[in-house]
Amino acid sequence: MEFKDLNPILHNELRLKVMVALDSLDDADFVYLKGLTKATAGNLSVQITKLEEAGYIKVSRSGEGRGSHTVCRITSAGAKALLEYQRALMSYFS
Amino acid sequence: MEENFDALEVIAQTRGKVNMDDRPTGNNLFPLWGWLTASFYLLEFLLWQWLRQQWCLWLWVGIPLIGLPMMYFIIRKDREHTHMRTRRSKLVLDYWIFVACAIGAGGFLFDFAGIYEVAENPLICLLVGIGAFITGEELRFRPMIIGGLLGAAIGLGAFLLQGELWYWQPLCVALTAVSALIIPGHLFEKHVKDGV
Repeated sequence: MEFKDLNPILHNELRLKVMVALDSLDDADFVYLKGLTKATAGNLSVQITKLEEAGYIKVSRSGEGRGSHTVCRITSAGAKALLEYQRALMSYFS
Repeated sequence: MEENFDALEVIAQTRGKVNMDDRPTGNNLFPLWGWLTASFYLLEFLLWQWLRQQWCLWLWVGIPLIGLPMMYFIIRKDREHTHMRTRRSKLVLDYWIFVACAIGAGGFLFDFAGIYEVAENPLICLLVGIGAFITGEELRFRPMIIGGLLGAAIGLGAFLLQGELWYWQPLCVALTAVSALIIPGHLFEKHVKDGV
């Protein structure tokens, strides 16, 4: 039996949570994602940047300092990668 | 670095949490717009019967003039500190924005062109009825679906009120507001409060 490789970008608990949440939503801001994932702001920020660099999410930032607002949205490449990841995951059980 | 976690559980739990966060709240704006629409159109209907003055037909302008500031304060009061939005709820919101723009633009165009009696009010009933219907579908709330269908049916009926009968059309809008906005809106608030 051949197991598919798991996408290393997505095979991280926090990044996976962010991707799954954004896959279910049209968009979500940083504060919502922080509450959902229970992650620290610093860690979440790092993981969001990694997902953005991979082209899986699009991040729009407005304002500066305390008034800044960061909204994340999944890209079509991200949605496709998440689907592939879930298929690869399921291949371990079939 | 290799991660050691149950990915399937993470996926299931996260989807579950997002769905819980996406539960509708009772802060819907249906009763606000419903009461305003019903009151103003009922007033328009009665004043037109009594006075037959052209300005009576412009009373509808009062609805956004009062409704928009009230809506702003309600939303501001209830504003959450976080933001998330589903695709479907965004589509519903977009539809209502379209309805508001269509009614506003249509109202001015029809009134200025002097063909107020032709189709403006039936179209308002149709748009509001369809809006309540799709919102009911989104919320999976049957009274809103039925109320919306009833409102749209009143709109179709209102198209028949032409010529001498056109002045009954504002009453149709008031009835649509009652069936598609006021009753389902209050029932929905009760539904959420009771946690049914």
